[in-house]
Amino acid sequence: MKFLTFVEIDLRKIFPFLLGMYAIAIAGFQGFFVKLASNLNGQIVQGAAESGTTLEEYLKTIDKISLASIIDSNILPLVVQIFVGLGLILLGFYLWYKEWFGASKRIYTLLSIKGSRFRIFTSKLVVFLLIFVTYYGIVLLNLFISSFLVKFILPEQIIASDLVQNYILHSQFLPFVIPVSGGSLLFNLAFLIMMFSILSVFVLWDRSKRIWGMIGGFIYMGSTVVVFFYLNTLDLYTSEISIVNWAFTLCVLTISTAFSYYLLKKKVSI
Amino acid sequence: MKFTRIITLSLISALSIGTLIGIAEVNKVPVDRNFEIEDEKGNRDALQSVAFENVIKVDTNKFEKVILTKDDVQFKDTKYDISHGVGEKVLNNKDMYRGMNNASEYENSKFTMIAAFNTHFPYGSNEAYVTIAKKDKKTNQLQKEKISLPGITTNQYIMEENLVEHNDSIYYSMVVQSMSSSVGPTLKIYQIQSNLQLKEVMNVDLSLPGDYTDVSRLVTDGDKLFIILSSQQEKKLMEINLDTNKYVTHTLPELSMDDSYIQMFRVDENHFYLNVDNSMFVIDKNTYKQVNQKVMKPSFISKYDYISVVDQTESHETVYVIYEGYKNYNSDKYVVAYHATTGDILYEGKLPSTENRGVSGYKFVNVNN
Repeated sequence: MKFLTFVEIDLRKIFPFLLGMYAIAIAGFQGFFVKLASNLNGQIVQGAAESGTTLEEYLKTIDKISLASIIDSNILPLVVQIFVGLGLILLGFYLWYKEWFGASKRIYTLLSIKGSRFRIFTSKLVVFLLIFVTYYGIVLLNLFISSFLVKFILPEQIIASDLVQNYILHSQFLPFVIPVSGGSLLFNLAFLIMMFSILSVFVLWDRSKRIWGMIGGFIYMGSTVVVFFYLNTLDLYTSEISIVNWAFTLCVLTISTAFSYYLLKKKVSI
Repeated sequence: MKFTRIITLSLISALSIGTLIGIAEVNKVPVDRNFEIEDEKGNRDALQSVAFENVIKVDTNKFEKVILTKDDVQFKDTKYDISHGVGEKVLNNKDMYRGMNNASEYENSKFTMIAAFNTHFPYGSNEAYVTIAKKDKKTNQLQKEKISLPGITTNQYIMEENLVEHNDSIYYSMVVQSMSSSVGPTLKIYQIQSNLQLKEVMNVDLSLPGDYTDVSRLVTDGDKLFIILSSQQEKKLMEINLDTNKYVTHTLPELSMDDSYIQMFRVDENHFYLNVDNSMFVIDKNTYKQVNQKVMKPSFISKYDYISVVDQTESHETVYVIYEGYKNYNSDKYVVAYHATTGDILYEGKLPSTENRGVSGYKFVNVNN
């Protein structure tokens, strides 16, 4: 079977679930956003009434409203995105386990196909990356929809210009959800590959050694998480922590991919 | 086999990466460099001798310092770390400031010294210690010591810290407040010896009669330390002499008694400046009498739910204050110039908004005139 067929089969299995997650991301974000923007509109009208001037005059005295002033002051829209993102990480487990469970146990077919077994790993990795890059697109789409919707909720002259660009550059919280520059996009992609490799180590170890493999996998996965959080609690400045994070990511990525390769080639048997 | 899903997701992925790079890297919006003070009251010439500083974000990981004067604005490249909220001074001396970004500082021609009590105490860590770091200006040599302080327990927290030199000795002072309401705040003063060890020299009880005593910042002036003690019944100014280890308290003129919270406290050659309940008071250093004949209050108080004092400075009989007013989602920054003796408002102006550009608040900087 060709590589692309592997990818397409994986995508077909998760497609409905994926669409559901993206729909939740869009509906949740826009729902909260509209609510927050309407609250803000109420406050503006109230502020105008209290100031004793007309709304027009009052609007001239206050700051222009940007996406940052709506979303960064109440990050519920972004929280929805974070939960959807966590759900998508779980898909990484599902991509592997779906082959092992069920009546047909498709893994036997996959493992007996001629050619490198590592293709199974790379095809699932490609799916994992596609899921997340699409997710970044969904978050961006949400920002564009919001920058459009806000025009119907708030008075036109109070809305700042270049809403999405400014939000990408100035938001304090958006970098926790999607990459906001070319450099952070590269880092995020490397981090995603690392996460998928760690998940693969867990699954493949569990499937090749059963109980001890499962325990080993938990310890491996847990220790990478612990080391990552430990590194990020050190008293390091932003320029230093980004170097440390790159080093950590590349290291764990290499070890986990190599270990997955070994387990897939040597340990997982039919 | 048809690859419809691969094609769909690849197209969406390419589109999202393209859009992201497009708006975050290629098609950037230049930051708004229009900074101008908006007159509200009085003549702007009153701002002759002050300048304002602020840091703006101009690009990913690129920051500029804004120096704003009454009719001019300048931009200078600078370093800034958003997640720690620190600028050039700290980032150029990372080894010294690491883990103690907001330490109290003392600087003379020979060295810079900083001291900070364990910043995680008492919730994140129960070790009572102070870190002292000293950097020689000539050799750039750094000495850093962690010294544990006996007698400080985890039901206390550190309210104030101060570092000052007097008679070739350095003193580290701190105000410790107990979490149990029956015990008032205590001032502890230590002398720092040449090996960076501490020697306790004073232990002063700061509590006033009444339920609760609040304290202001600890300020230093020559060989003296000053602190304002405030309870619902009275307000006192305590003066501590580092030479004789003696302290006296002075009764302050009638200030607002409704609010025991001292928003700001400063001292210069002739006066004390303090802010209680949005009103500014100038107090003579020798007589402890109020100098300003009229209460100094900004005129925009009623427009906001809450007003805080951000920074204050003084020059040529004029007192300058930066205020920030909060109302609902909105906050505005103002500068107000008062005449120190009459208390009249000489000028009131709105500082340019930092929304979507600024990363730090406004503060006063020295100008050479």
